[in-house]
Order: sequence, then C-alpha cells, then structure tokens
Amino acid sequence: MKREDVGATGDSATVGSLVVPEKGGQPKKQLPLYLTILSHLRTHIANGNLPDGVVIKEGSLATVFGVSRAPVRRALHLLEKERVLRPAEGQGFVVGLSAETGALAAAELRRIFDDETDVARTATWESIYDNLLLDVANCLPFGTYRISETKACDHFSVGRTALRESLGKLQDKGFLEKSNRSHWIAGPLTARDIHEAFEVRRLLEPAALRESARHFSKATFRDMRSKVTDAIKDLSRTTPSEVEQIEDDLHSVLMAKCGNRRMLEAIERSQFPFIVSQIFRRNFGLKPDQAALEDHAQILDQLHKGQTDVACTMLAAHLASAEKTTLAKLRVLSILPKPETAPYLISIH
Amino acid sequence: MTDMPLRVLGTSVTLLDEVQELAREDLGFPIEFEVQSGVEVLQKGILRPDTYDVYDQWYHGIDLLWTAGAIRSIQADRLAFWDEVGGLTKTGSLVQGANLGAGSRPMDVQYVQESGALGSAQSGQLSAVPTAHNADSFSYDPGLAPKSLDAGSESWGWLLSGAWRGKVGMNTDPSIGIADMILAAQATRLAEFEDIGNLTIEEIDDLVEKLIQLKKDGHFGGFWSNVAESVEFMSQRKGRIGGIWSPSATTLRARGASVRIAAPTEGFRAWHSCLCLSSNLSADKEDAAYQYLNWWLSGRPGAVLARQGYYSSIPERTRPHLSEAEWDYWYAGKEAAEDICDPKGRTIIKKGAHREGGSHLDRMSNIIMWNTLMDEQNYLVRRWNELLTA
Repeated sequence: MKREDVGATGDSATVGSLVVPEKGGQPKKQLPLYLTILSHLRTHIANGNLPDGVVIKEGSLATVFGVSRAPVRRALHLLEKERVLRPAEGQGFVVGLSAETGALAAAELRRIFDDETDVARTATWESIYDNLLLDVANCLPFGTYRISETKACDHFSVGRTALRESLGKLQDKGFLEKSNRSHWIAGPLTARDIHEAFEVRRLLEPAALRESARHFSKATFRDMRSKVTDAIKDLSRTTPSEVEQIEDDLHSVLMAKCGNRRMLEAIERSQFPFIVSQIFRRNFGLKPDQAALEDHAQILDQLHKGQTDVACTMLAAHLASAEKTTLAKLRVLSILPKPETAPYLISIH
Repeated sequence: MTDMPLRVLGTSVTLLDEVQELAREDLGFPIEFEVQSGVEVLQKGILRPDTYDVYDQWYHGIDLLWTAGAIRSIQADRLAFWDEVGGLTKTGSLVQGANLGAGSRPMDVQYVQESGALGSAQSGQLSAVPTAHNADSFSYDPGLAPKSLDAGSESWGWLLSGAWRGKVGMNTDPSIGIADMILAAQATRLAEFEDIGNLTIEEIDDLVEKLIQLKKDGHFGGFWSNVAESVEFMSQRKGRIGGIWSPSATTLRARGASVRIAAPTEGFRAWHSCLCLSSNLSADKEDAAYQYLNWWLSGRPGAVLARQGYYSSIPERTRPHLSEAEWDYWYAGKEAAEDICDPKGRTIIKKGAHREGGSHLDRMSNIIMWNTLMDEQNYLVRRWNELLTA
C-alpha cells in the first residue's frame, strides 16, 4: 500500500471509457465537421439520392447543415480529389461524370439530408459533453446540486437545445435526475447508489459476457491478457490510462457483442461509480490494485481456455470486491471539503 | 538510525504533556509531537503521510487511512508484547460472550488479510498497535440534575430530554457526536434505526432533520470540537450536560467541579486508540518507530493515561506503574482507598468513591456502540455539517 506513485486507479471494475469517451484524461477527439459532412455526401451519392449530373453548391449545403461554408468547402474539395465530384461550369460541383442536369433547390437538399440537418447541433452537444460530465461528476459525492440551464448556456456559450441534449446524455448514464419540478439534479452520490449499481453489474455483466465472449477469437483474449501481464509486471510504472484500457477491455469491449441492447444500456447506466475512483485518484494517488488486475488476468485466461462459465463466475466475484473497494473510497471522500464547482451548479444541500 | 526526530501526529487524547515527557525520557532518540483536533488529525493523516512517521488516533479511522494508502502494515513479530495484548482488538471482547457492540469494531480492521484488505482473521501483519481505550458516556453535575429524572437509571435519552433543554452540549465530530445522538434518539424513540452502527440515508435524513429542529428550538446549549472547548462549555454555566471526554471531566474535577460520568442503562459508547506507521516511513527511522510502538505496550504510558480514566491494551504491564489504590479504583472498580490524582498530580477522586460503571471488565463488556464510520459516512458528514451550521 505504499503511496509513492501518483498513478493508476486502484479500483478494479470501473469503466471509464463506457461513460467518458476519453483515455488518460485527454479531451475526447470529436469527428471534425467536414468529415461528418463528407460522410453524409458520400452516402447520398452512393445510394443515388444525389444522382450523377446534379449540381450541388457550397452555400445551400451550408444552410441545410446549419454550419459555416468552410467545412462544406473542405468536404467538397476532398470529393473532387477523389473524382467523385468535378467543378461545375458555373458555381458548385457536379456529381459523377455525366452531363450537368442543374442545381438542386434548397428544399430538395433539405429533403435528402433530412436526418443529417443536425450536424452542427450534434457537434455542439458533443463538444461540451466531456466538460459537463467532469463538472457534474466532481461534485456528485459532495452534496446535491441543481443545474441552472441559463448559467450553463452562458458558461459553455451554447444554446438550450444543445445543452439539454448533453444533459440528457448524462441522465441516460445515471449522473443526473430530473426533479418533479423539472429541475436537473446532480447528487448526492451515496453508498446505496454504489451498492445498487454494482448489484446490477453483478447480475448483468456475467450474462452479457456469456453471450458475447463466443464472438471473440483466442487472439483477442491473448492480446488483452498480455496488457494485464505487462501492467502487473511493473505496477509502479503502469499508468491510469493503461488500467482504464484493461478495464475497458473486460467491462465494455468483451460485453459489446451480447446482442441485447437493453442489457448493455443497463450495464452502462450502472458504471457511474467509476467517478469515485477518479476523484480518489486525483486526491490520493496510489498504485494500481494488484489483486484486481490479477482477477482480470484469471478471467481472460479462462476465456482463452473456452471456460466461459468459470470466467463469468469470476467476473461476479471480481465485481463484488470492486464494490467493497469503491465503498471504502467513498468513505474516505467524507474527509474532503466541498470542492469549488462550476458556476451553473447550485448547491442545494 | 538517523538523527532526524521521529515525527508523531496525534490528538490530546493520548499525547498528553506527561506522556511526551516520559517518551523523551525513556527513548534515546528525539521525538517531535504534533497535536491537533480529531478531525484535523484524520485529514492530515490521510492527505499528508509525508508529514509524520507514526500516526496516533483511533481504530475507526484506520479503514480510511488504509484505503488511501497513508499507512503501512506493522509486523506483529517486532512487537515484544503482542501476545499479551487483550481481546478487544483481537476477538472483539475482553471475555468470551460479552456484547461486541454495534459500529466500527477495532477487531474488524486489526489484521492485514491475504487480499491486502483489513479484516479480523489473525495474521502476522497488523494495521495498528492498540493503545488506550475507554467506555464513554456523558457527564453532568449530579447536584444540579433535573428532579424529574431518575438518577438511578441514567439514559442516553437524557441528552434529548426536554428537562435539559438549553443545557446540552454536542461534540461536532461526525463519528462521535453522531453516535451520542443516535443513542439518545433511540432511547427517547425520537427516531428508529435498524442498525445503529450503519444508518441508512432515510435514517440519517430523519435524525438530522429532527436535530436541526431541536437546535432551532434551543435544545442545544453549545457545540465543541476539542477538550478545551468542552471544558469551557461545561464551566460557562452551571447544570450543563454533554458527552464530554475523560480528560475534560478530569480537568473539571481537578478544578473542584462535581462531575459524574454517567453509566447509561443502555451501555457505553466505546473507542480504542492505536498507533499506525506512515506509508512514507523511511527505512532509517523504522527501528525508532518500532521502539516507540513497543514503548506504548510497555506499561509506562498506560499508567499516565490510567490517571485520566483510560485503559491500556495490556493492563498487567500498566499495573506495576500504578499504586494499589489507583489500580483498584480505575481498573478493579473498587472503592478508592485514598484520594486519587490525575496525571498532573491534582486530586480528582475523593477517598471512598467508586468508578461509574464498575471495573474495566464490567465497563468494556457493556458496550452498545463503538465510535463509527458508516457506509454512508460521506453522506452523513454532509448532512451533519448542515446541522452544525443550521
């Protein structure tokens, strides 16, 4: 238990990546707008919605997608390089090699891109999601907070729609609730919340793994196992993101092919206790928990041998000890004073 | 060994001036004592293990220190008298069959288990070395107690009885003050609890809200967080009552006040002190640290603490350092054969008096609850702070 290395999480079964789509504390890499637009154009050219000969223009596409001209221009030029488009006689680009048949009206474009007109909005909610999650997660163990939509919009410089979309995602993942007065409420994170979440995980994760594991090759298990071997070999040098990757392999990647979407959603919604470990790690450091990593190693060994049932039993036991560790960490957080919070988080209790 | 002093962090509960002097006298190396309030020691203990070598506090905080990696294991085979240490931390009680009490029992965190967690299965690796312990309750001036209460059957419920309105003092420590209030609320049926050692969220909410109401109604006369404040509280006005600690009662008695430490019919609230080694303890200080741990089990410091009402984990090693009258009064529960003095030599017990609650064995076998850190401690602390600021 020597505390010298401010490093990886000691918690064994918390999954960062399912909830926070980032590794090692780096901001999430969001798909650039021009690539999203490029992908939409490609799809509709391939499926014939934008037939050969039709002329598409930068300005009307920008209007339809609700974005500036720059990302549209970039996407069009890339398609030109791929020879999917060619410059039109006048303004715009012609699809394919056939003779020009004329430009599409804005209304027609809007009909074609009906599902994709929220490109900008999607980008906005995604762009604030990580910071919103960080702000909310940091305050959860320390009391009850109400989120002021007005202040949050100011804080992030976004509109209400994008903000609500982002808050909705946090609600889906178990970080927020709506009060009966329709206020967004965060916290308090209690021992009971953690116990209940782990109970769900103990029941569902082995079931998901049992279904999903058969879709993976032995090579996958071997690769995952070698990451664990490396981590255990030199615990003091193992980084938080390496541990998160190991957690992610077992608790997310290997479950993902179970085929039951509702089950996966329920699991994902129950993985929020990982924030206790994150706050704990930030305040106390600690080397990774060797016993927990050894659990991972044994589970992967059993999967490799085709002993899925044994692996599933071990997973349930592994989650039981992770619950104890997480509860112990939550008790430790009781000595920390209330942290500074973002201006849009109003402390109620 | 090094010339650098051994740094000891602890509270005034055990690190009395007399104990510090004795340690410097008995041990041939420099020691630096840092004495803080209970909450401060716990916070520093967890957050800054680089600032101390030996941590001196309570078993109910060990779980936190261990989880945070602030302390490291202690080898039982480097403790000369480990085998003589009594049952409280090893099996849970001094004699088989005694009530173990609710809450954070020292035995549950005494040994390092194979998994690296703490538990009660005996092993050669310890989380802590047990030192002083006691069975606590509340104190009052029996001459000024409300006539409506039956002096023959003291109850924790007195702390919430309307008869003491405006005169009740509360300890602000969220592991100790809350325990007093839980016991009081249970005795008066103000609130009900399934397990007094591990409250649910609803039970915490219910209790805290009722206490906030009582506070607003003027039930509490004051709040205190250390010995000096509690002495001040009890002396400010006559006829006050509160879960003050033994050193406070000792100080008041030394000043001539009439103080009775209650022996509640429901049982005592127990606590156990201990010593831990910092996870940052350097190799060149290790020998000094173990000498210090061994010194605490040797009996000398135990005798100093006995004079303020505390028991040591190896009573028989303390006995030779006490007079027969002292031993009989403090440990055996017998009538004081002569006036009994505190660690500073001031008379605090008059000849002929009996210790409330009886002998060491009687008192430590009558535990209703230990000072406790609950599963919902984090939630409790946040709500507890609301009560303190209400």
